[in-house]
Amino acid sequence: MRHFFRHLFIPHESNKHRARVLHHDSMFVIIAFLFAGLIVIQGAQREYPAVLGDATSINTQDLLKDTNLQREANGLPPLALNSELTKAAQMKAKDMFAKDYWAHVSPDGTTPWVWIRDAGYSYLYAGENLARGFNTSDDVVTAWMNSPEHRANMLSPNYTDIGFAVESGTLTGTQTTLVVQEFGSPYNSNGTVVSSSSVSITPAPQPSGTVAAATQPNTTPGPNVVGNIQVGQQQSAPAGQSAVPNKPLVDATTLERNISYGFLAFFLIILGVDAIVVERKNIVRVFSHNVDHMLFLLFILLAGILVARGVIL
Amino acid sequence: MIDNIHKHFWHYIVYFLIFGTGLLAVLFATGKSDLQATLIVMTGFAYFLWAMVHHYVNHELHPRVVVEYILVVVLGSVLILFLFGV
Repeated sequence: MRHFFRHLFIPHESNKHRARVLHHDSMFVIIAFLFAGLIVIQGAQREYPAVLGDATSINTQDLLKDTNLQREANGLPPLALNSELTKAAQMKAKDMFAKDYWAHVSPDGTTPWVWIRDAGYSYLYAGENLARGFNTSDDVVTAWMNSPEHRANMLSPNYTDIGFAVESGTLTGTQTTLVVQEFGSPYNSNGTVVSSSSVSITPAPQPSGTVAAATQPNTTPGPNVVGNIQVGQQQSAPAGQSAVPNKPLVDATTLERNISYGFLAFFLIILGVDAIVVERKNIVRVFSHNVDHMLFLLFILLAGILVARGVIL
Repeated sequence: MIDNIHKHFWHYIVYFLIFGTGLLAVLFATGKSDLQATLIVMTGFAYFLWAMVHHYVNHELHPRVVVEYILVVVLGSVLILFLFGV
């Protein structure tokens, strides 16, 4: 058994002084095996989502709780979950998946304010935070709190209401869970009557960065009916719209990540060991590219880490 | 390897530039998965081209060398596909 492993992984006479797994035919077999594995995983995800699927524990209740904990820690009143803002967040999330974009403003120029207004929420102030690629509500809120622009939205005293959407799907080529957080304060907040002439028109926010609080150019000022849902009523929201209850037996994202990182680490170690043994034993090779290949695989590893992390906008 | 880098200093400057630029590009494309995947594959292709030129200049552009680089670049590309969940 020892000889077999040495033959596979350590340069030796038996493998012509190059680890057997680094021989071209072996590498070809490994690549074919990985391709097959990829197809099997994709097929299993499609056919048996309860067994192999994307697991995420992100849900509206935790997002709301964590957001309000952050506000309370900073001496601010909690935000109330609002049905119109939740509807606006859901419309925004669905639009992002349908038109395949990752931005505050859609490719056809639709701003977040359009969704909020279309959902029936007349606002004095409004804001939007986006997140994708996270697995827990805590991670999402922590990422937003670590970004000055998103933190400003989370801790703005101008907002009284909040709405969330948590949707899973394929966005810009990647299976992901998208979180949309819409903030607002109603047009007639605190009973203040605001006439249309006193409301300034703020230019639409740019796609980059967090959408700042904006003032609505409402053409029909007057009392607005804003249907607030308090924290305890959140469970009445339709299942699958405000939360992603995916709990498959095996999390596909984690499995794919582990396979990728595992094979990268494996080849980096084998190439490193091969280079060291060849150097120490003064084995003469016509061609030796181990270190070149190691840097390439290290690039793939680092790029993979950049790709796999959650992002906010 | 160190001797090789001294001997082909400018080759390796380009070599490190390819990976440095690739990483920066992937970082700046955050949130655009399609673009990130394209950038990673393009960096792999640039590595392959660099290797071909490097070995051609050194008069060691053997078919086995070409096959080895192709296999390594394909291996890296397949492993990144797992991360994109393609």
